[in-house]
Order: sequence, then C-alpha cells, then structure tokens
Amino acid sequence: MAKGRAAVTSRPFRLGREALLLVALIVLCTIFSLQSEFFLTERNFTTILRNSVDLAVICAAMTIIIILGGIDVSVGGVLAVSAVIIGRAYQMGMPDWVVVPMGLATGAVLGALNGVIIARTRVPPIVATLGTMYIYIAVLFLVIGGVWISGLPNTLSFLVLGEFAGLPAGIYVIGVTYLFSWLLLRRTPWGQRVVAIGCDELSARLVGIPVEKTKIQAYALIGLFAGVAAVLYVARLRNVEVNIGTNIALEAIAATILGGANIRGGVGSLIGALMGVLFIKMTQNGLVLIGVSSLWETVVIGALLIIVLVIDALGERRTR
Amino acid sequence: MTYTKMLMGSVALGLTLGSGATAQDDTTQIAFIPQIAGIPYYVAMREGADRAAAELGVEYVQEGPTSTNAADQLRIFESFVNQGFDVIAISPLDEETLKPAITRAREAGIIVLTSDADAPGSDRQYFVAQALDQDLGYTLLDETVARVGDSGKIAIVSDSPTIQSMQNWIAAIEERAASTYPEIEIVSVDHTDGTAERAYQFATDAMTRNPDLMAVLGMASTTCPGIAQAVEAGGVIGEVLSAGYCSPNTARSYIKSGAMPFSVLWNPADLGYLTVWVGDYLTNGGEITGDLTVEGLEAPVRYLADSDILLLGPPSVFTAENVDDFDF
Repeated sequence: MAKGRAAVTSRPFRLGREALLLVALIVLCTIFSLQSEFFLTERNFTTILRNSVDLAVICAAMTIIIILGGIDVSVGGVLAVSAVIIGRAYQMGMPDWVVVPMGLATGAVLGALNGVIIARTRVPPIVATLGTMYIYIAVLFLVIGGVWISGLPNTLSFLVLGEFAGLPAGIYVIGVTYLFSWLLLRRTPWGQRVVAIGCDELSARLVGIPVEKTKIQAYALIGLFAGVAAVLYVARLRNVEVNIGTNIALEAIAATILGGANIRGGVGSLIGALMGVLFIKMTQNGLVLIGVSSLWETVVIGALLIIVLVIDALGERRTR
Repeated sequence: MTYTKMLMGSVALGLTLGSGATAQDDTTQIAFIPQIAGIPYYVAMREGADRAAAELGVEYVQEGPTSTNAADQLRIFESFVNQGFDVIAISPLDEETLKPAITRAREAGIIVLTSDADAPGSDRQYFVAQALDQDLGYTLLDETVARVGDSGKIAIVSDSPTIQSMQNWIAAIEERAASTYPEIEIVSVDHTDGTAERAYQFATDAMTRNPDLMAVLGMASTTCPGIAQAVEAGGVIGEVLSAGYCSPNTARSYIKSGAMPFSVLWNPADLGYLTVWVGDYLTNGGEITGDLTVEGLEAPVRYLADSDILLLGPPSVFTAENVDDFDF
C-alpha cells in the first residue's frame, strides 16, 4: 500500500496538471496571436526562451526543494551574491574557467548554509531562508558599495543568446538542467529519499533515511542552480545591478506551484514547473505585444495560480 | 523574552546617548534621502554634498531605501526627524506618502527641501532642481530626432510609475512630440521593477511588436543597461537607437559600442553640492529672493519664485566625445 502510494506520487509526469497547463498555454497563445501578428513568430519565441533560461534553471531545483517539503525564498539573494562574485572576478581579469566555478561554488555554499540552518536547527525553511535572504541582499549592497558592475565580457553570452544546430542555445541549457534534475529525482536512491522525506518526514527518519544530510544536499543543489542562473544572467545582461534577483524567488515558487508541486511536500513535476515558467514569461511578453499595460501581468499570473489551486482542491475532495 | 527586552533596552539607551551627544554640539546637521541606496548616481551626489559639507563645516548624512519603496523612504524620513536634524532633503518616491510627514517636520522647525525630484503639493520649502523636467524631456527627444529623424516610432521604458519625476519627463516628451514632431509616435510606455532584466525584456518586446521601431528611451539609470543590451543582442545597432537619462558610468560601454549614442543628465555632484549649500544658507537665516551665485558651482543658480524652485542649470548631453570626462 505504501509502495503503491509512493509510485503514484513519484510519477514523473502528472498528466492531469500538465494537461491543464497545456490548455492554459494554448489559450494564452491563441489570445496573444490573435491580437498581435508578432507573437507567434520564431523570433519572438526565441526571445521568450532567452528570457526564461535563468528562471527555468532555478525552478528545476525549486521543484526538488518543494517535493522535499521545503521552500527557498532566498534564491534571489543567492543569485545576487553569486553574480557579484562573478562580476568582481571578471573585473579582476580572471578567465571564464575560473570565474564560472567560483560563481557556482558561491551558490552551492550559500545554499548549503541554508540547508545546515534548516536541518540542524529545525527552523521552518520559509523563516530560515527569509533570514538568509536579507543577509545575502545586504552582502550585495556591501560588496557593490553603490557602484554597478557593468560592461562585463560577453564570452559566455552564447549560452543564452547563441544558436546550435538551428535551435537557440537556451533550449540546450534548459534541456540539460531538466534531464539532470529528472534523473536525480526519479532514477537515483537520493531522489527517492527526497520524495520519502517530503511525503512523511517522521517515517523517513524511522526507516533510517539520513534526513539532515539529504536536506543539506538539496539546499546546496538549489544554491548551485542559483549560481548557474547567475552565470546565465551575467552572460546575457553583462552587468550586475543593485536590484538583481528581486522577484525571481516568488516567480520560481509561483511557476513550481503552477506546475503541480504541492507546497506540503511529496508531490511535484519538473515538466509542469517548466510549463509554469513558460506561462509566466509568455504572459510578460504577450501583454507588451498586444499593448496591454505591463501592470496587468501579475493579475493574470495570480488569477491562474488561484484557478489551478481551486481545481486541485475540488479534485482532491472528489477523490476522497 | 527577557533577552529581547534587554536588547531593546540597550538599543533605546544607545539611541538616547547618541542623540544626546549630537544635540550638544552646534554643528548643523543636514540629511538627504535618495530614492534608492547604492546606485552610482546618488553616490556621485554624495561626493558633491560631502565636498560642500567639508567647506561649510556642516555634518552631512545620506541614507536611502534599498529598493524604490515609498514606505521605507517614509520610515527613513521620520527617523531623521526624530533624530533632530536641522535640514532634511529628500528625493520623493511618492508625494502622497510623504506629505503629512513633511508637514509635521516643518511644524517641528525642521527645514525640509526636496532635491533631485519634487513633491510640489507638499509643504517643502524649496525644490533644489537639477534641470526642469520640461527641459529634460525636450532635450532627450530633440537629441534623438537630431540623430534618427523626426518621423517614426519610439518606445519608452521607465521605472516604477509612482516616481513623479519620470512621469513628468514622459509627459514632456509626449508633449514635445505632439507639438513639434507630429510624425513621431510614442507606441508604448512600460514600467520595470528596477531590474535590468525587465528593461531588457520590455525593450526586446517593443522591438518585436514594432519591427520599424526607431528608438527606445529609458527614463531611469536602472533601465539603461537593459535597453542598450536589447539593442546589442538584437543586432540592431544603427537601426534602433537607445538613449535615456543615464549616468555616464552606466552608459559608457554602450555609448562606445554605438547601441546608446548619447545620454542626457546633469552633474549629480553639483546637485548634491547645491542641496547642502542651500540647507546651510537657510539654517543661517539666509533668504532667497532671486538668483544666487554659489561658490563652487560654475553657472549661477536660477530662482523660480512662483514654484519655489532653485535650478542648477541646463541638462548635459553625454556622448562618445565627452563621456570619459565624467565619473558617476
């Protein structure tokens, strides 16, 4: 019985939610393309994709964190600190092969720090990461000290802006990230432990799963991915500004929840999260193209979030 | 619990001691609250202000919110009031939020100035202005027209819609376009959350929506790297012009690449200098009845009596030729 339940929750594709999101995406695309001849073009979809890369990368790890029963609101801060380290390293004239590992390591260390606080002190993750978020943002201010880092080299821009075999480079970055995350979550014992902890932490502890260790590793992973996102951000925009990462944590959580992750843990879908990212980025893009004030975008995203959650709640009640 | 109380007690004690110490000496204390902390523009303003403070023998403190948040700005304003500063200058994010606090500060005998941006409906005494909103709007559009012609589509990317000065510049640009360049069409005005990423997105989307777009104009320094990057990444340098109210340091690499051929702004160090100078002048009982000559500033300061504005001078245009002469 327990085995059966675990099999259901760890199904890689939750068809119900993905189908629902697909319908929402198609409806959205139809509306936008009817209103603007420029929406449904190769060039515009490349633009949407380029704008989605950093959020998509963070969402892959956010899905794993939410399946674990956790949450990380500090990803924007981690991204910011990693980006500052990357920017400063570039300014000192360091080459890509030094700069990139430094950025990734910064992310992983800050993420692991979150993990240690959460696992060792049992402070609820939302509170712990809220606290570290404030600290990370303060670090950003203290290091930058009022001077934007701008005019950074564009040697890595091809990761986001380039093209391989006729497809935008961003597709490969997203593809590799999601394949890696999927294998990790669904094809390794570590991934099964994450699902088990998210379903029932106490039982997981009783059957001997190293809960603390797994948590620290999972938060280090999301930190690492925030580091990847920082590399991609700097590669694309070539500057580090004071407000970097402001909204990315909330967008990531919204996309992940839209994608079918249950905030109480145990359930989540990587493909769904990716579709959630596309929904958010497509809304931001499409509203501008059809000439609707950008102030409406959060209304659309918020409304869909509520609709999806209500449908979920109704469905849950029926099956019960 | 007791720990918290102890902590609060010691903080309160610290505050009392701190304010006691400052109240004893007679040095004039002047505070300035920018719209956001930590951007090069306000750092440059602080440099000018510090220079004036050193010359005039006053104490100058500058502290702003970490995001463009009107409530945080109000909190900082009130903390300066409570600390008993003689002069508080502010670059308001939102006039309505600040109005009652400005009135209360005036009642407490504090000299309240607006500087860098105005709150015309409040009880502030003077607005220390860098340049008239109208001049700035006209200059940006005139310089754009001089480079790409007087007919075509222009998109505007701004920061938060609550920042009054930017709304004024947009209005001035629209007014100039309507009155002088009837062939110019302003196709969109979008507002970012202060990140370069959103400015980049809006500029790219505007170019997608209008394949014949002529120019993207950025209202805030926070929007400049994003819109210039969008022009570079779109491979349309020379086809689409980006320009805006951007500090030379922020715009420098794009001015040199040609993505952003020029930027319009003023010298914020001079503005900071003038703000402190005016604060000190008023504290010492000075009265403003006409144009002023300020030592340390090149151009005379104009006084616009009907709106109580002190005007630093005409806007500067930064191009590839002169951008390296400035560092802010």
